[in-house]
Amino acid sequence: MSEATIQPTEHAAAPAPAAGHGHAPAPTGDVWGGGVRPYGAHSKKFGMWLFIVSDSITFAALLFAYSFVRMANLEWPTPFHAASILKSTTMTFVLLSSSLTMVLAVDRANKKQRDKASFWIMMTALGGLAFVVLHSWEWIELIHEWVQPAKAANGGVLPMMWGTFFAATGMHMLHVTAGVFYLVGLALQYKGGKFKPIDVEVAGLYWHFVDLVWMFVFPLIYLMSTKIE
Amino acid sequence: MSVAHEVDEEHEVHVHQEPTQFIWKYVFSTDHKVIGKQYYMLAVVAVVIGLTLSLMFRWHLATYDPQHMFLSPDTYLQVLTMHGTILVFMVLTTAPLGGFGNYFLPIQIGAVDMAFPRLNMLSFWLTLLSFITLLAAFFVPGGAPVSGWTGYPPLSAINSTTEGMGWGQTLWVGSIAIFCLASLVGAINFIVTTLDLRARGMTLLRMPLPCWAWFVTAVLALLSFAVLFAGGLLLILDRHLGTSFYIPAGVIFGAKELNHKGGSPLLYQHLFWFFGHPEVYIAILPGMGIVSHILATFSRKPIFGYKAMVYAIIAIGGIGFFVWGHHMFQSGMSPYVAVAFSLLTMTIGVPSAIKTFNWLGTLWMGNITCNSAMLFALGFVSLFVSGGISGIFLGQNAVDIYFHDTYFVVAHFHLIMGVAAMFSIAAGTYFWFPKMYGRFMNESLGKVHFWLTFVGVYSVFIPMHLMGLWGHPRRYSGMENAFLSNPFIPAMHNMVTAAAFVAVLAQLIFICNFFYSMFKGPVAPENPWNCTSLEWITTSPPKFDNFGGVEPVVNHDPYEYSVPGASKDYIMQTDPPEAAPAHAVGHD
Amino acid sequence: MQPLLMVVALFALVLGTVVPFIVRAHNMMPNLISVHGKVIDDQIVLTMYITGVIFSLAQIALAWMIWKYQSKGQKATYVHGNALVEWASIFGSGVLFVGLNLMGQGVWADMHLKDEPKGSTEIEVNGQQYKWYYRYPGNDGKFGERSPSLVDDTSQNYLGVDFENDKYAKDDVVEGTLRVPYGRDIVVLIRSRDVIHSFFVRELRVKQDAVPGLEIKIPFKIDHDGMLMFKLAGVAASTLDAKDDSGVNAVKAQFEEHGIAVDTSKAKIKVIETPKKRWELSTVEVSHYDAKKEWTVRYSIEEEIGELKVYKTTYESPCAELCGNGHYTMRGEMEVLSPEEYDAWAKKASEDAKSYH
Ligand code: HEM
Ligand SMILES: [Cu+2]
Ligand SMILES: [Cu+2]
Repeated sequence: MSEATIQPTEHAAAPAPAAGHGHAPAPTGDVWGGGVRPYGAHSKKFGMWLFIVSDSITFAALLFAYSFVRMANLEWPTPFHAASILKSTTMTFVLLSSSLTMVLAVDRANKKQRDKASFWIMMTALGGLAFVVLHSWEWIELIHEWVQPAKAANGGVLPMMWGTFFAATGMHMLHVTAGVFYLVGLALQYKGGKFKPIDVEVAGLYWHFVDLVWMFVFPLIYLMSTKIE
Repeated sequence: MSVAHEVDEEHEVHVHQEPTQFIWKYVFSTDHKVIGKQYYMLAVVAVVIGLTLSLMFRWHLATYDPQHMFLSPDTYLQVLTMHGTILVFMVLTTAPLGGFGNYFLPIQIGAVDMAFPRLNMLSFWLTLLSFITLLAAFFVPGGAPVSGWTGYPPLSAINSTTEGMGWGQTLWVGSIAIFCLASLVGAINFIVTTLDLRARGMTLLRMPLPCWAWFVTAVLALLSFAVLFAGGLLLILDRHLGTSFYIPAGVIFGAKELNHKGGSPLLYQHLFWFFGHPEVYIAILPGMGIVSHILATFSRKPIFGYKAMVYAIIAIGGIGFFVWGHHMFQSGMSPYVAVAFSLLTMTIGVPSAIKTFNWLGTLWMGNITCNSAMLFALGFVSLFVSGGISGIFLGQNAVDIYFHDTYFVVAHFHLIMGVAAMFSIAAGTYFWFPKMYGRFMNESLGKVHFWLTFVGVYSVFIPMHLMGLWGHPRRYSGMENAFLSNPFIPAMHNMVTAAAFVAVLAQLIFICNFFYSMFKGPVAPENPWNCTSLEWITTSPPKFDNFGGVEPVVNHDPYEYSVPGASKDYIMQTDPPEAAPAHAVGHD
Repeated sequence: MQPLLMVVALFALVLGTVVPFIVRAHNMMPNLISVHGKVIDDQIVLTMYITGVIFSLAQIALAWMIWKYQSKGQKATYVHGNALVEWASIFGSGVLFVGLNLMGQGVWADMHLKDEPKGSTEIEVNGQQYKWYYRYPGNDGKFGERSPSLVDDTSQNYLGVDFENDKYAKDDVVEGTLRVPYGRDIVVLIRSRDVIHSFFVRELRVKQDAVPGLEIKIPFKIDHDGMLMFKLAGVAASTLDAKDDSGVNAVKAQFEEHGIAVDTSKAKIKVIETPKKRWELSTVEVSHYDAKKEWTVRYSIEEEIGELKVYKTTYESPCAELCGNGHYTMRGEMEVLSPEEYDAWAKKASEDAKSYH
């Protein structure tokens, strides 16, 4: 065993090159050989999956709360008119495309093309940024158009519909924003020779997850509250 | 082969040297052992604060006089709320998991560190931030919240409900939210470490029971804190953005109808208890693991029914997600659902019974040494039985009609969660202190500590069951009304308070012993208890990389004590396979 | 030394709990006055016995292990467990716990799952910080409309009843005391106008959260036989004005009037202080002497005297869900009347209300 394998590392599975790597002594008999990663997943990837599990529970709870109050409130407002749906559809499109660029980034990273990978990560971040900008713009408009009048009429209380809308989309936007920082940081350092392809893959996992959440938020919060004239 | 090459590059190693500067070595350390100690110290500070608060309200109750109250009604509730929150979150959740778990999980499975050392550090600092945020609630205008550790809305959702519901409540929710993040990060780390970093030969079913307990606890934390986080988020929105997730229409404050509309207070209760019930197991499961470990060691016997113990831990964790409704039998939740929750709740008694049987089985025909660690472990078993018994009452929906929100519930959860978990922490401390600090704690003081605590806590909580039977509601700061001014009640309050002072002050002995022994205790060898698990093959305290450059290889089950024909009365997990005579190995 | 101490401590624990909890299982809780409460009490007592046995066996087994296998240099026996023990404990505890639980479902169904009996007396129980208000439908038997916007504490319309416009509302009675007849089916409709409260009457074995936005129905019936003597106590107390013997004699006379001989050599009735309220009995001390043991009930004369139970007529209803700083002061009062008295009172109160509005 080399010295290095017993040092604590940021890489989880530093020790014990896994069985089947050639230079590790094969496990004997029925004694399990240690150091093998279950599900063949890298620790970081596994960790990200766990994060995703936990985070989806948070989103599930939020969406559950949304469904709960929506079902409890018979007259649920349906304020989203065409312009708003158009905007949110564009946002959806932008976000979906950014997933695509992320796929490219992971692919380039696995092909050891650091520059290209980092370019595509940047593109992904750009997509995320566009989403955030579009979304904030929409938020501001909605606040002017609907929320302020409603609040004025209602003694400052945010109506239920808007409460759930901002809670769910805000939480999602927070994830996108954090993701943009994450991706930009990764892209810059990856280009500079730091990190491994696996790190890009893990970032990709996160990004696809954030996308996926939007695919729940969009129909549940937007499409189901479309104004039908 | 190109694929293998790829993988190899991924696992290329950054060599971390042990930091030499104080700040990197002891403050912003990524070493799991330092982080474990940091967690432990945080819990010590928290327990001192939390128990002091409890003495304050106990004193208030014992000396109760409507004309001269020791605490005003709002201060009483603030102190009560902070006591509960601090102890549940900052002590019972941090010490057994963040403290011992961080320190000993990697060592017991033969790893050099946690899977993500830097995230580990992040998790500690978030916890500390959460603790500070919580304490800050005392110092903001209006003071700490008064809505109890459960923080039910609408009381907690609307500032005007009662005095003391201003920024304090917001800080409380904020603190909980930060704590959720910290726990999430920590849980990911524990799970990945357990599954990915085990040493050669350390199969899952060769892990010492504390590892199993930490692992399942981490899974519970991963899944349950996520929901609390969402619940807390919605509470903040209700408080500050004027939404009404938890506030229905027609609520009246200050003789005025509020504008809120359409929410439901029960939604919060569902979200809270979906977290809350797993949380109580987060507090106790590591304790069960630690106690099992200690019982086997000081009975010099293999744990009775190791596999059954593992499955019981998993079952408790699993069923624990489907019983939260037993906190809501009287909440106005559908009574049909209550029946289902009640039946499921009773099934959780089964793995609990199995654990108890197996602990007794472990002692049976053993060779028992009663040192401080063992005494606390034995005390844990006794307390777990006592507290579990009252669960059988509370879990029956019809019976709970009478007991809900009385002192009976208070007695139940203090015995089983508060005190039993504390006993496991104390047991773990006496047991692992030599490993953590390279010195022994003082045994005589340990025994005094045990006896004062053991007698003290029973004298506090057994009478509380009686008060519950009598119908004393919980969270009452005064006893003006006719029923409670009956002389039976003040007499009980006095007695309980006296016992509480004994039990709490006894902890000072422990704390003195702890800090004294850190510097002056007798020096401990590598394996003072002749214990079999991996932490005992290394130096006391372990080196930076835990095993001094040796990669441990595990050949034996974790509790191979008194193996017939073996040369010693224990076989270390890392002893060569020949250490056990052939006929003794591998049967269960 | 330590094993011995452990044994002593665990035995003391078992004795100290079994004696009060098991031996006195039937007398642990405040007296029972409701019909369904009998089932709950029986279930509690049964659980007390079963868990009492488990508890004692487990603690004593623990003590025994510690004592028997304390280290004297012996070698421990190498056993890994026993599948039979595991399966036995799974099935044993499973059947026991689930069976116990199923036994309690009947009374739960009676209270929560069945339609209320026809002709029940409906009474609204309203919680608000830190008071309970009760509304009776009045002579028309119908509750009037209410609306939160009509709530006006200054004119004492705490519940927002539409006295102005709704004809059903005009005769509704809103009171600070819960009056219920015994022997009749009663349904309380529990509500809250601000935070969560909980309606709890110990003697009824009823507890139900009052949740804003919900109206929760709980049926109960006060046991006629059990209440047979309630009047006795009430009247007796109301005549207790003096600290001298006249009070005692008055109580005694009341007992005798109802055919209960009070053997003063066995039972002693002493008035400690003058009652603060007409119905309050916390001031009467009944000492019951018996050849072997002597016990004293200071709180009320609701303990057994000879064969008979004597009840008081007013019961406390303390709020059982944390509702703010005044939580501990929030208690309602429930007064039990005979059906005739109740009818007379309800009729009068409703007429008064109507003429007032
Ligand atoms: C035999 C297994 C158990 C059963 C059947 C059981 C049942 C219950 C029930 C039904 C309640 C709700 C009582 C009420 O509010 O009316 C309750 C409360 C509680 N239990 Fe348990 N329990 C068991 C074990 C545990 C364990 C192992 C712990 C902790 C380690 C625990 C901690 C708590 C806590 C903290 C509460 C009170 C929460 C509060 O209202 O503040 N219980 N238990
Ligand atoms: Cu629970
Ligand atoms: Cu209340």
